[in-house]
Amino acid sequence: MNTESLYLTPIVKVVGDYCNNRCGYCFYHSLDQTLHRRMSFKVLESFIRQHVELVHGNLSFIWHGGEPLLAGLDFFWEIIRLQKLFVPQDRSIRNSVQTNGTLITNEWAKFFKENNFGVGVSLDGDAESHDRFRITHAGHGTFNNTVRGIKILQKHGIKLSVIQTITQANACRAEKDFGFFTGGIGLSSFGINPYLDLSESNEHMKGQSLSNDVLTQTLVRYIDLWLERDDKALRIREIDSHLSGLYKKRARNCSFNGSCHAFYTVNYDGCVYPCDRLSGNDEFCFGTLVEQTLREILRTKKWQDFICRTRKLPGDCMLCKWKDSCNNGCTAHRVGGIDGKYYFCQSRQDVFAYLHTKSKQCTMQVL
Amino acid sequence: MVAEVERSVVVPSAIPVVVGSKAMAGALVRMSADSNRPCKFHGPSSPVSFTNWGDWDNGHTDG
Repeated sequence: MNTESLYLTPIVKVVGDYCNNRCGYCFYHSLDQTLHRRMSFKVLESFIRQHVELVHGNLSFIWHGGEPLLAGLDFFWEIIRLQKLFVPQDRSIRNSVQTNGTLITNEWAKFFKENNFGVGVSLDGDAESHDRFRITHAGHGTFNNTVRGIKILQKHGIKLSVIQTITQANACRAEKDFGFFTGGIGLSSFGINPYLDLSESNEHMKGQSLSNDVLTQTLVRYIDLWLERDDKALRIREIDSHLSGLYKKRARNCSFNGSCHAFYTVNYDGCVYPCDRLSGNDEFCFGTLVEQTLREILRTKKWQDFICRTRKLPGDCMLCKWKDSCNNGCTAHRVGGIDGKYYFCQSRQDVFAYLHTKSKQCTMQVL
Repeated sequence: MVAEVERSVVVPSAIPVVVGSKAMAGALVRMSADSNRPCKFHGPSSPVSFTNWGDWDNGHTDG
């Protein structure tokens, strides 16, 4: 195994696709999300032990779903017990959880605080933006419950980040959503995910995928709002990442770094996939921890071929001035497959150019 | 004499404030020192990297 693969961050789908919400755009929308599954303690122990043995240095774990809090607090305490058991004291551990926020209680918040978890909450903006697609199985909006969860986290002093999904429906609501995030609930960090259904398989979301032009307009509006607010502590993931690209630095957003090799997903049943945007697809199932070791799985030709394909850039990327700042975007958003061209290529170029101008104006004073 | 000339030129209040300078300065401070060449990216190698926890590009949007 080469040295690169010794640094890996696992994304763990502790309950598979099981979720208490039924968001219209979820990439598990076609699956039965009502089946209550949970990773067995046996698989959890095997996974943590092998991961700790395999990777070098400090450790990062991303606990995901479905809705990971449905696994229950006992499951998360078992994670902590196993990490203490297998991780030597000279190695640091960072745990992150991505949740819809609706199940957060004081008990969960105390657990996250006590164990230094980073918490990411999915929130699409104010009530009008959020409740359009983030709904329960019964079709009710989840905004109130999500914000209630966020307030509990804030009450316990947990610094959280939010991920907002932008669809055609809320792309034009940037001012309101930005105002809600920064003023309404006092966030200092959020990220933006553009909705894109390349396969057009989701009937509920017809017409909601963003075009390059709409994504550019939206991001430019967020950039302007961010500059107008002029708060050095306010971090919008996409703006920071584009700026990192301008300076040829590693972005904090993986879709700028060509870094698919740095992540793998473990499903509740022990099956190993790449990033969870591609999980659940048999084409990308590299093996199972029930039958193979993690080391064996990450040595398979299938895994190595996957990494090679994700890194191969289309011909016109080689001529692009932003090649090293973009790396052909998110693998799951490439047209025609993982070795195709990034769908939002034009938007990236436009936003890089816009930020380049703004950055020059501002940094003349900063530097 | 030189010092007097410099004082007469550098008057902070006369410099127009570019809106967004503080936001931009914050982003530069947060920026990683590492190159973004994929072959240089190995994952969290120091506790500093752990401030990246919210930056993994996820969210349950369709792909």
